[in-house]
Amino acid sequence: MKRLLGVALGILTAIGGFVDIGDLVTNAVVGARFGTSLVWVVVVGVVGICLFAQMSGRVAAVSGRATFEIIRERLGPRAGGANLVASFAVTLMTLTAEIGGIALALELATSVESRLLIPVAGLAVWLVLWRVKFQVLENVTGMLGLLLVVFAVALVQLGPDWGALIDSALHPVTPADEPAPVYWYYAVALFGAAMTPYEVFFFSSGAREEGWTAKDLSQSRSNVLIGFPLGGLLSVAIAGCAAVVLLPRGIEVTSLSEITLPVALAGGKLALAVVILGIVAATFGAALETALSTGYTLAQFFGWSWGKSHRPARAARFHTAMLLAVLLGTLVLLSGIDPIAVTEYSVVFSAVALPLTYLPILVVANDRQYMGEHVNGRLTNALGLVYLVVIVVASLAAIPLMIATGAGR
Amino acid sequence: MSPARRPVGPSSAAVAAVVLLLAGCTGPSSADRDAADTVSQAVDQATSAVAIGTLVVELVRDDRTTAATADTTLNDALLDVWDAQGVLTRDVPADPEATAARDRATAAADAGATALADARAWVNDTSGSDVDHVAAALSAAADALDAAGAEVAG
Repeated sequence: MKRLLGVALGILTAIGGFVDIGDLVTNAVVGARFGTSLVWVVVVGVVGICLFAQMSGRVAAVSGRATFEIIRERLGPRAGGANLVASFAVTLMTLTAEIGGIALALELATSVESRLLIPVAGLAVWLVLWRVKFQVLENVTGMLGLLLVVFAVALVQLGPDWGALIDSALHPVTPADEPAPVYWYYAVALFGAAMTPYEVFFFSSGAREEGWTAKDLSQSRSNVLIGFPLGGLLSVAIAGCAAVVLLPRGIEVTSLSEITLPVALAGGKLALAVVILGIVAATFGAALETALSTGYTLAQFFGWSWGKSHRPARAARFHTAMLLAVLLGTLVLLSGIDPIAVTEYSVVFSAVALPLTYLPILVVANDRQYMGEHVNGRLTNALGLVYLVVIVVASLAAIPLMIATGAGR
Repeated sequence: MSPARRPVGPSSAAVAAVVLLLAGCTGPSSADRDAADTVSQAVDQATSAVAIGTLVVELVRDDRTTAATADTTLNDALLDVWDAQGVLTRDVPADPEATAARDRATAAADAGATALADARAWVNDTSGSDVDHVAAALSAAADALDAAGAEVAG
């Protein structure tokens, strides 16, 4: 019974923890511009993150090494160091976006200007990282993130033409007034939002934090293979709400407030309160995960003592790195930069950086020296190679598409 | 958004690849956009802001949102319309006809900004306006923006 509860909790937190500011913004922007015609990218992204997280969790559980320990071992200090710089920069950008997301959600609840709330958000993130145990912070934010199910409830309440929504999703089309490069730019952005590198750093390092071994692989698999696809459904519901309410009115999504409009229209003040709380939980949880990921990547690469379970005095550099990352993200936002713009760029650069971590994990997951009998099976390898191609193509196309479309404008 | 749609297939992907390659070689495409495109995008942005204002006013009227959330959403819409006004003001059209279209688009965006500011004052209960007056101003601004958009497109 206790094991069953553990599995259920793992799945629920995986669902609730799936959506972050990147998913919220990108899915709403895409829904408001392209309807459900890019839902196929969410499906591709969810299958990809399942594959990637499942491999990295298995590698961590079996070999006892987290992602950046492996990258350092396999690529050496030079290539590994370049990988670290790129991955750390993207994770820091994502952390900045998440802190901004917390402030924007709090602004929606209070109408206090978000710039005044940014230091509060940054301080709260750091205090929780400093004081709260790993499992508590992971489970509480994941469970509260489940409140975003309200998007799915709202979509049902809005009573859309389901046939048209499903037809648009199954037969991808783009509005005649949207150029094809813009469509593909948002396809890459949506892919980057679903397959954010920090999720893998956090998942593999979390496996070490929780002391997973080969015996825990089935639970890891169920968390990923059930939790992430259900989390992906939340992403689709966000896009669906935008497609039903914002697209017909010609509303462009440029801020967090617009994302909540369909929910308020469908469910009134109660649904609005739930969605704001859900957004705070989702962005707060993701801010904690990204902040931890900055500490994990640096500590694992440089061989420092790391882990949330270690007291700050015993892992001083790990905790200092997280503190500085949170401080830097907060200061960047205080400069007046738009958190939504940071979010939009962070998902695109996530796509750019993805091959850097995907390839070493794919290689190690096939290495019997590390994995013994738990190496990838044929099906996983076939899928892994297909995704390697998809990830490399998305990575190479991302920046040229960004330039060609003026970042989707 | 136009209801006319076309399928996304391999040919679109090929076109996208060629366009992005060319754009990557020649620099930011924003530099190549003509004045009509700039004005059209600014009008779309202002139209979106006014549509947000209209929806928020409906939600407040029906007691489906809080004053704090409505205020924040209207403030965000105002930022969008100010952004559009800035683009229109900075634009230098190539001929008198385009200048006249730009001027009408600017006037429509100004009307949108005023209507949104009035709506915000109404939401915060700091004006003597009523919901009908606020909604009518937003509707008039939306009509003006639609006309300006059609003129720019046509």
